[in-house]
Amino acid sequence: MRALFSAEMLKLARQPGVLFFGFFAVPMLAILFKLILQGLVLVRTGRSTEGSVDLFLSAARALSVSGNSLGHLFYALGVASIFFLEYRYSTWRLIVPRSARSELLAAKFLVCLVCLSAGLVVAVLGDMGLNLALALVNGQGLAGLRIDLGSVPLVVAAFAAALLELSVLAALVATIVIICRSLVAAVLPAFLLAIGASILQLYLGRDADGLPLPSYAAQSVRDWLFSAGGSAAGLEGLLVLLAWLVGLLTLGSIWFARQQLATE
Amino acid sequence: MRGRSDGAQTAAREAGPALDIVAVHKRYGTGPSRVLALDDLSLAVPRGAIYGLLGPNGAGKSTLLRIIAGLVRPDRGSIRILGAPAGPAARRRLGMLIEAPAFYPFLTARDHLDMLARASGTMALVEPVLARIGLAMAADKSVSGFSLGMKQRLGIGCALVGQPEMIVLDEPTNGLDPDGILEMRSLMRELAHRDGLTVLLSSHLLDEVERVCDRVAILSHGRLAAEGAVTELLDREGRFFLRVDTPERALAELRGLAEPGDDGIYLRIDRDRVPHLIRSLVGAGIGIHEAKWVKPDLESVFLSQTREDRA
Repeated sequence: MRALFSAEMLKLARQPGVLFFGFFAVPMLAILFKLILQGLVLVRTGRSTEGSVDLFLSAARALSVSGNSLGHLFYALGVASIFFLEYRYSTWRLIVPRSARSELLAAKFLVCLVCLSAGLVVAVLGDMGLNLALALVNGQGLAGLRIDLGSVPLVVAAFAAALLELSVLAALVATIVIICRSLVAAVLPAFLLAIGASILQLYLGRDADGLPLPSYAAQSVRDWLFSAGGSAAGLEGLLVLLAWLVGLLTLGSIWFARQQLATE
Repeated sequence: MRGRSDGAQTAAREAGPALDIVAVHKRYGTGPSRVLALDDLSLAVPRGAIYGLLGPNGAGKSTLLRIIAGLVRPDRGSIRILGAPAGPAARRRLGMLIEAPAFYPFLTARDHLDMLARASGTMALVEPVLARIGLAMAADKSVSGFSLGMKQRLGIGCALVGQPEMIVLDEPTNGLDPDGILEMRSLMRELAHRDGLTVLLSSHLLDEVERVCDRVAILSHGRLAAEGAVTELLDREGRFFLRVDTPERALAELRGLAEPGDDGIYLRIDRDRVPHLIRSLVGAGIGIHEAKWVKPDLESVFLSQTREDRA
C-alpha cells in the first residue's frame, strides 16, 4: 500500500498543473481575494480593519473555503485528473495485474485526501500569515492580534469538517470518473451540484436546509461550530456527510471491482 | 535475473502447470450483439516452457490474456497461476506485457521501473533491467519522447522488474527493428532456458513462434483448435509425397487417400503404413521416381487448423 501511495504521489508531483490548480489554487485564491479586499480598505481609508483579530478563529473561518461553489470546480478537476489518468493512458493494464483493485483505489483516494488536507493547511497558514502581515502594516504589531488558545480546538474541528466536505466531493467525482470513464462527465455534475445547491438555497431559503445535500450538511456543521446553528442540525449534517461518503465510496469500489478494463 | 539449478527446474516442472486454465467462458455485450470470445477454453502451460499462443483475429487470445491479467472477469471457469488461484497475490508472480505498451508520458523509464520495483521490493533490479533492455542511456528521458520500439523494450522491463516466475508477452517484437527482434528472441530463450521462467508468448508472427516456442496452442473462435509441442504439431501435419510416372493411376489405386499436387501426389498417412503403400503401388506397376516426407511450417499448420475449425 505504501508503494502504491508513493507511486501516486510521484505521478501527481510530475503533473504540477494538476497539483496546483486542483488542490492549492482555491486556498491561495481565497487568501489573494482577502488580501485584495484588505488592500482596497487600506487604500481607501489609509488603515486596515479596526480592532484586534482572533488569529485562530479567523483561521477556522478561512476553512469555509471548502464550501465555495467555484472552488469545487477546481477541486473536482484535481480529483478527476488523479482517477482519470489510468483511463486516459490505458495504464490500468500496467498496475492492475500487480495489485488488488481496492488497494489501487484506496491509494488514489488517500493521495486526494493528503493533497486536500495540504490545501486546507495552506488556507489556515495563509490566513494567519495575512492577519499577521496586516497587523504589522497597521503598525499595531502583535498587539493587533488576539491569540486565544481556546480557539485551537475550533480550528481542528473546522479542519475536520472541511476535509469531510471535500472528501465527499472527492468520492463523488471519483465514482463518476469510474462509472463514466470520463473527466468531463465527472467534473461538470460536481460543479453543477455545487452551483445548483447555492441557487436552490437562494430560492428556497431555510426550507432548502432540509434537503440532504452535502453542501447544506456541511454548512449546518459549520454553523454549529461557529455557534450560529443548533447542535442537532450540526450532528445531522455530520451524519448526512458521512452517509454520502460511505455510500459513494461503496458504489465506486463495487463498480470498479467489477469493471472490465479493456473493451473488445 | 535469477539463476536456477537443474534440480530446482525439475522440481518446478513436477509441481504442475505454470498456468492452468479450466473451462473459461467469456461473452461480451448483450442481446443480439453478444460476441462469444472464449468458449469453455481449457489450457495448461507447463512450467519452464516457452509457450506460444496463436490464433486469427477474434480467436480470443487478447481476451484470454486480459483475463489472466485480471483486467476482465470470465463469465465462468477458473485460472490457476503457478499453482494458486488467480488473484493479486498470484499475479504478482507474473510479469506482463499485454496489448500495446501503456505508460505515463510525463514519467521517465526509470520512474516506471522504480514505481513497479518498489511494489515488488526489487529495487536492486532497476539498473540491471535497464541495462538488459538496452535503455540505460535513455533511463532519465520522459517516455513521451520514446519510439514504439523503446516503449516495447520498457514494457519488457516492466514485466521483468518484479522478478517474476512467469512472463506473459503479447506481440513483444512489435515496433522493434531487426536487431531488436533478434535480441528479443534471445532474451525469451534466455529467460526460459537459463533463468527457468515460463514464457507465454502471443504473436501473429508464426515464424517467430516456430523459432522460439517449445509448445503452441492454436485458438479459433474461442476454442482450442490444436495444442502440442511444435515438432509434434508439425509431424502431425506432415504429408508423404510421391512422384510417380502415372499420377492418375496412383490416385485411383489409393482411392481417396491421396490428393494431387505439384509434380506428384500427397498423402496423409502414418509412417508405419509407408512400406506397405509403396509395395502396393509397385505391385500395381506404377513407377515411383521420388518418395519423401514433406514437413510443413507452422503457417501451414495454423492455416489448416483454423480453416478446419471454420468449416
